[in-house]
Amino acid sequence: MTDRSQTPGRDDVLFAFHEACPRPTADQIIDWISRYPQFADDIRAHAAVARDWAARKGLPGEQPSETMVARAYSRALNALYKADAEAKPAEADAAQSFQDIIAARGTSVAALAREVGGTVGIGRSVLADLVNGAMRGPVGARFLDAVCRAIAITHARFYAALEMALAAPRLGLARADAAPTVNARSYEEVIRDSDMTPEQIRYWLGGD
Amino acid sequence: MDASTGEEPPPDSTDVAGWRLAITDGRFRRFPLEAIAAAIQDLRPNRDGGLINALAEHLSESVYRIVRRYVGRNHPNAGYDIVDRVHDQFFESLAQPHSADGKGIRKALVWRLQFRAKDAIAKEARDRRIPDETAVKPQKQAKQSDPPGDEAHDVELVDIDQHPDLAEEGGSSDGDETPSSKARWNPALLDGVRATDEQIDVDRFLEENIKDDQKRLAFRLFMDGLPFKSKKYDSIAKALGIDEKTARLWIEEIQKQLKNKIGDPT
Repeated sequence: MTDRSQTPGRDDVLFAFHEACPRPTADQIIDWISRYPQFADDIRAHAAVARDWAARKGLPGEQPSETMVARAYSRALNALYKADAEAKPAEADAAQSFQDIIAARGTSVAALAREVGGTVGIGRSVLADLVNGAMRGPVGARFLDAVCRAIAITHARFYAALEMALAAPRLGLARADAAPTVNARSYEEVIRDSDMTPEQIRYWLGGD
Repeated sequence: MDASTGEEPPPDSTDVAGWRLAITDGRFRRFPLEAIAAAIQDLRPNRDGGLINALAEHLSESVYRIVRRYVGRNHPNAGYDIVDRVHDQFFESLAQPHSADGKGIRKALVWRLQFRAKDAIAKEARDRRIPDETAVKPQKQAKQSDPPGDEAHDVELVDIDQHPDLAEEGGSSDGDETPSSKARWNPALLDGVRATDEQIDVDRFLEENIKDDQKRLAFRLFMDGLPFKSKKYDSIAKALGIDEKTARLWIEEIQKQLKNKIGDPT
């Protein structure tokens, strides 16, 4: 028996709108909204982008730098690697430390900082604090996304690795009169106390 | 060789030897991206690392450049956050051949990319949108002269006298104005705009100065000649799901900014 009650999902509707209306007119916007009122906000938002694009048509597009292209390729391979790894559940389920993950990717904290920072840049000390168990969660959304993208892990695996790092922090040199300790700071404290520029700090704390 | 197009067809997506040869002699760069994507999906189980990496490098660069073209610099981090996100999402879909996107990119890759870029931009616009104070604070001023807009694209200014809207400036807001109704508004506000040559890049102005995507859309519809509100015809209010007063305030706000940018020669 065929299910006739199947209604198209959000992506189906928006993709069809995208194909049918490259430069949506008011008439088209109203028509699509009346057909799919549950996606009205999305249709309007897509219509706004479509009109921006239509207005820009013919103008030269932005060209990315070779560095950005190279980083994108690195992440593309990571995505394929991650998919392969997730196909092996036993392997994927084993919690790994940041050091293990970084080593498995054949990268380093310095390289990771360059990857995570992108064009904005991020202090290497921030990544070092993360990896060494000197940063408490939760971390900023941009930072979380950037790190997960760079080393091809899920948010869940990020926080599992963060927990491991906090449970077994890497200690600095011991002072003569006291046992070495690691005082983990919050994400915000780590960012604010870093030597990054005010713009970088604002960016990593979530402002534009 | 395809006799109809004169182009060499790509190897079958599972033809390891064919793809290896195409990579060796560089022909793979001329093949459609859909064929490259299909080959990566179908050859991956064979795990020919070198082969997959070469195809992935080409596809990654192509995808990144395509997406970059569609994302302006008027976003956080000059748009690179969005470009990265769309690129990475593409490769996640590529790695899942049974997902909708994973299937879709084998057929119409650029359409899919455009769609995902559009969705990412729309999402970001929604996330950064803040409640519009003008929408909740009615202003009496809204009853005065309404300047019109101008034309988008290569900026041919709409003749304000012909704009269908603002006919009810006299107070009637029964919403029955039609595209042919008489315009009784004062065009003085945009005289300066008109006088300054009709090559003002309004589109660039909108992109650089009007952060709210819905306000930009309202203004573009206004430039299309749409009334703020109408019971009989399409209107800005109906298309955007806002009330007439908000539509007016948005347009006035943009017009004022536009005028300030251009300067007042009077």
